[in-house]
Amino acid sequence: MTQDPSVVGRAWGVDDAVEQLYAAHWRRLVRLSVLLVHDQGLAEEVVQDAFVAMHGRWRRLRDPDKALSYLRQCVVNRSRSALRHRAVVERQVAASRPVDPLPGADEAALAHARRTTVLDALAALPTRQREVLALRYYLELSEAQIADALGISRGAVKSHASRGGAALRDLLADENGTP
Amino acid sequence: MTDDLLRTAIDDAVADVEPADRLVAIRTATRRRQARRRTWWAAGGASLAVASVAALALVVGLDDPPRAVEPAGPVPADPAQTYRVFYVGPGPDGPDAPVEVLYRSTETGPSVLDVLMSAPSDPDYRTRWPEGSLLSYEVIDPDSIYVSVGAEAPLDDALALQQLVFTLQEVERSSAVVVVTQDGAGAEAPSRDVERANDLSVLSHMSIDAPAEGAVVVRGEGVLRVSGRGNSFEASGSCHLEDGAGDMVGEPAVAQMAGWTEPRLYPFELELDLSGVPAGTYTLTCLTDDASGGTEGRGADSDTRTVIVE
Repeated sequence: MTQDPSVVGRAWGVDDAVEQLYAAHWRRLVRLSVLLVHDQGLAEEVVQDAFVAMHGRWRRLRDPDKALSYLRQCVVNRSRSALRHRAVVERQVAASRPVDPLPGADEAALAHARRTTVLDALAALPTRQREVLALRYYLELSEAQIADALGISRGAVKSHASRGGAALRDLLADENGTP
Repeated sequence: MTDDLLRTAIDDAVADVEPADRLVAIRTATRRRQARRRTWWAAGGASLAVASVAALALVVGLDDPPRAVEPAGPVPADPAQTYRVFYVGPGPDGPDAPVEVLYRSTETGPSVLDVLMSAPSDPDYRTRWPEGSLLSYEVIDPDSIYVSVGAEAPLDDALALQQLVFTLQEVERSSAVVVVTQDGAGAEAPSRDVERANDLSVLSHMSIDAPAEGAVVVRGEGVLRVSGRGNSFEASGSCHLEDGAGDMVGEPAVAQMAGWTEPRLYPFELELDLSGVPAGTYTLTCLTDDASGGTEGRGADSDTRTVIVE
């Protein structure tokens, strides 16, 4: 996080709110969406739309915490819709637009390969498991916050986290050639 | 691999993602949206009026060539506007069946929300939205339909929420998420985004579009034309007439659909021969084909209409 949300004033106008939340959370939310859709351009679209939607319902939010949790919810929901939409398009075009590779030095190439492995492994999981893992390990949300963001029960969060975590470990172990 | 390693791996996977700056694009979009909202409200129209224009254009458009609709003009209230609305009705009869499902019905009223809160014309259906529970709605962008609801709104009732989503998406011809917010609850207003559920999980797999409940058919015409939508084993269902005692009158007809493998309803049309049918009041019944004969699974879905043959 580039800025502590607590510095954000209480008496916001909607445009200030968008600006401050953008400064504090834009990058982190785009990265969250990349974990979900594995495509930076698409992730930027998703989060941009989420900010516009948040602006639209500001009179219902009027609170930095509520606005942030609304943004998170929006990013997850819209990432899911974007994936569904892309699946349809891809069936016709049979082409994907992954995160741009970093060309050049071996070290950069290795880091890129390592990242792609994790993103591919995440992409191989069922949607809910991927969402729960991203919110838990990347945003470090609590079970209750994840349940709230996804609109599911805490029991379901627990079960997705445990199944998804095990599956991701297996996928990464396979990739690395370790048991 | 421990939790910490997993956390590190996931964190690292996006550590090199540096998003482009889109604040200007966001500001442009929000300004455009604000301007559009101001225009709507200045037009004397709450969103309901706008919705009426859309529905009017839809209904008129079926027979007439496209016409320019004045978006800024005040819309005269029409107490008899036609809407296609979803209501709750009895589900199929199998042991694994849901208890209740949604049916699509054509109804008239001053606004789609009023219609949704009113008793349907078919007594088999009902609504889960009590009077006063739906206050207003507006379409803010292509992705969101915002609905203000009152304290009576059944926010924990998944089928009620789907009733709302299916109806508003149909009226707005949109696939937008429906954002339901309780009005008057201040900053703590409970609100939720409701996405449309899979068609086959909430809709009746058999739904009659025409005739309407209580329709009068003239025997001299020779046939009763039935149209509807369904999803049935091997794309084939059936319709027939029953008399007051529940006995079949005349011959049944096959409701042939164009498919059954996709998770959606397929339209069908058929004609029931009225030549052997005396004048009287009948129940038109359409059924899906239950391959198990009612012993397992979902069972047969059905929809009925009262028709008067003269």
